[in-house]
Amino acid sequence: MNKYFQGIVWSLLASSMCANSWGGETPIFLVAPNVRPPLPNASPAAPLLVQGQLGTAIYQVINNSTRVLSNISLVGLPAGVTQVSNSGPDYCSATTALKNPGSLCLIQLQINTSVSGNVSGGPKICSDNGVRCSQPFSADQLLVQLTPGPVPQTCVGNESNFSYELTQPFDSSVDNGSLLTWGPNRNQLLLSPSNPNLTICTTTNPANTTATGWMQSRVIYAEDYWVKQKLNYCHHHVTDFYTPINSNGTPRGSIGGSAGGYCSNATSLYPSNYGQAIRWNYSGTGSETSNSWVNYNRMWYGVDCSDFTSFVYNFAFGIQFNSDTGFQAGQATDGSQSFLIPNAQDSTAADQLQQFSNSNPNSPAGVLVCADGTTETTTGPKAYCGTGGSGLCTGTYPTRTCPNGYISVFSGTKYDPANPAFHQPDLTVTPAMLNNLLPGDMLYLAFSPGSGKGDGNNTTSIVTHVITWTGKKVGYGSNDINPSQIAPESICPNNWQPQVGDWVIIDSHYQGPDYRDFTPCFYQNNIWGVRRVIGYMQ
Amino acid sequence: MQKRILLTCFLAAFPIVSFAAFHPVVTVSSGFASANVYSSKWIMFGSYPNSYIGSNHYDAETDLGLFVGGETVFLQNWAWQIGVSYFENSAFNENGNVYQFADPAFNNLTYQYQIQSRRASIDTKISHAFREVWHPYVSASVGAAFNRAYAYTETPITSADVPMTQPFGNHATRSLTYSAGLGVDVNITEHVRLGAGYRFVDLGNASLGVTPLQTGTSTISSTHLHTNELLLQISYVG
Repeated sequence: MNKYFQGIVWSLLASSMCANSWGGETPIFLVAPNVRPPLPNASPAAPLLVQGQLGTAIYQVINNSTRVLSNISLVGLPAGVTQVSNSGPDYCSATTALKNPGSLCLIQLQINTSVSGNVSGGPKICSDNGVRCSQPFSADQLLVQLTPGPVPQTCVGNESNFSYELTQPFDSSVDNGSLLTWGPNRNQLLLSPSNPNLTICTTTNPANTTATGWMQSRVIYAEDYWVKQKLNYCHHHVTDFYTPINSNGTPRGSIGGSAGGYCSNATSLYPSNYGQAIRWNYSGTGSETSNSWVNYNRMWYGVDCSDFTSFVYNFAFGIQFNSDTGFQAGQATDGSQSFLIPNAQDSTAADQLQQFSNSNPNSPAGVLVCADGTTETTTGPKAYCGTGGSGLCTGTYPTRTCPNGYISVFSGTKYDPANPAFHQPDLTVTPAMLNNLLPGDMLYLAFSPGSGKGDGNNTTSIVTHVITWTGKKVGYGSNDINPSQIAPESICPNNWQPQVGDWVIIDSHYQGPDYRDFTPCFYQNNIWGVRRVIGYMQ
Repeated sequence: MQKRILLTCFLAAFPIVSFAAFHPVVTVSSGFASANVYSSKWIMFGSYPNSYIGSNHYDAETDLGLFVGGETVFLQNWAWQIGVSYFENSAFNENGNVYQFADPAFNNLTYQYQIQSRRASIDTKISHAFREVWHPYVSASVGAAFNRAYAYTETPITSADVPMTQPFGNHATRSLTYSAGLGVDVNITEHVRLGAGYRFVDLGNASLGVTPLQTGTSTISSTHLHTNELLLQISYVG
């Protein structure tokens, strides 16, 4: 995540700590879902579990008793449900971790779907050998609807099957020094090798439209899965890490907007429209309350924009690339290319963006997409849009000649390699260019959040944000995104409202990963470049 | 248990009704018993108590009984009955709130259980005949009550609360019981009387059993359970 975008100061601080909303009733433990099993009403499609698949649910448990408790245990788990260990830093190594007032940890449950009927209820957790017990509120309790097996073995039949991924730990055991701030790195996830074998479904051949089509659908299903978990915007690498109350010596509420561990404290920007105090689509019941968000740790889970895209590609395919926005976009990891734009590349190595490498988990994300819908040529040492090297700039500033073959609002002709800063948008990304985009393409934005100029008049070409193209539009059809699913955003607060027929993207900012309307303001007017992973990386 | 009590009543009544001066009497009574049900308790679980705050209330349930004995006349127009009786009521409902940690802030559950009382008593009744038809009376009894507390359950206040995994057990308590009442019988035929009356009955104590989860043996109990009863009676007087 680029530090400039991290610097956004979200308006409207969280409301004051709320009084207990249950009056004289206070659950001994607060049990709330961190990762829900596939929801019966999930859309697009309804990824119910098929008998034979393994289900996974992760719950956060807090000792809410204000007392030191003993003999804590899970009780009465539904048939087929067992607790499994997870080496992530926030998981309960044992339930004794919950003995002290206010202590909290995550528990991971595995659901064996070979049982008959649906799996529902709980998990219940008790102290004192079963005397004082709690469970999630009804809307948050385990509920997995099962359909008869066998598990489909085709690729198409498993576009939204993430059962195998969910059994794998998201958190790497390797601490790169950021565990106390950004949390653990992503663990390398793997596609299911059998029953079904999904390793045969991917491709690095862009001409294999069957496989690329499968990957495009799957990555959007993966993003949809995580959008529905209602995470916050946080400077974390993974979804199951929360910023500790004291983060590397700093109270978490005081973490600066550019630092690791920061989480958005944005209250609803539109209370007159939405009425929710916290996270715009919280239901106000069960664990989806402002009290839960603010006081019971919910707001401290989440990922930022480029950690969301890198997390999701790992989740969907096991594909790894850099989670820093600029580096993910292709700028050099030594910081020397922070102002470099695709259309300004020339024959000088220092003025050429980086190329991806499947063997380097910190490489850029795939290839850049050209304005004509093709992708850059990556054979040889240089990558460019066009043919025969014609896509590169020639000449010396201010008389450079640049073909401007990339999808970008920044032309190369105004880019001075000797003084690259403060490059302003001067091109238009046309509807025709947008029609050439494919689901899963990642659009990188250059934008100065502090400028307040999301209308295309921003003053920098520094990459600060990344969004995912869904290929879907606002509407009421089966393949559309219903307007009710479109989240607000804070950069252009008067222009985000969905209109039927608008393109829809997914990104993490404001209050976390969500579907959003692809507005000219903020999104279309600030496109730095577009990268495509599907068909290229593995 | 019920058969054993009835047999005891019959054997105890036999020598009485066979006494020459006594006329045998059999009375079947039915009506409503309104009980004052209340129980509160602190019970330890691990390091902390839970408090059980009973709802102090009256619960009206049906009451049914059988009296077997004899009647003799003394002075002029006075009659004395003595015999044994067996009464039982439909279960009274006790309920209240569970304060976990004995802290009203953790008012997370309500509780309920049932109390059924069966009584075997020596009953007596003194009546005075008016116009040879009306028999206003006063009555009294003393005996043993077998009070069974059972079916303890907890109900969560919200969907996030969960009852204890092993509830308090069932338990029967034997107590001294006594009653005092008044009413009136009226002759229907030479040998059959209908009557109506009121009586106060002290049923004694009723306690639930323990749960294996608790520390110690203290348990929820209703002490001095008493009822106010309105009864209709039909008697055969030999």
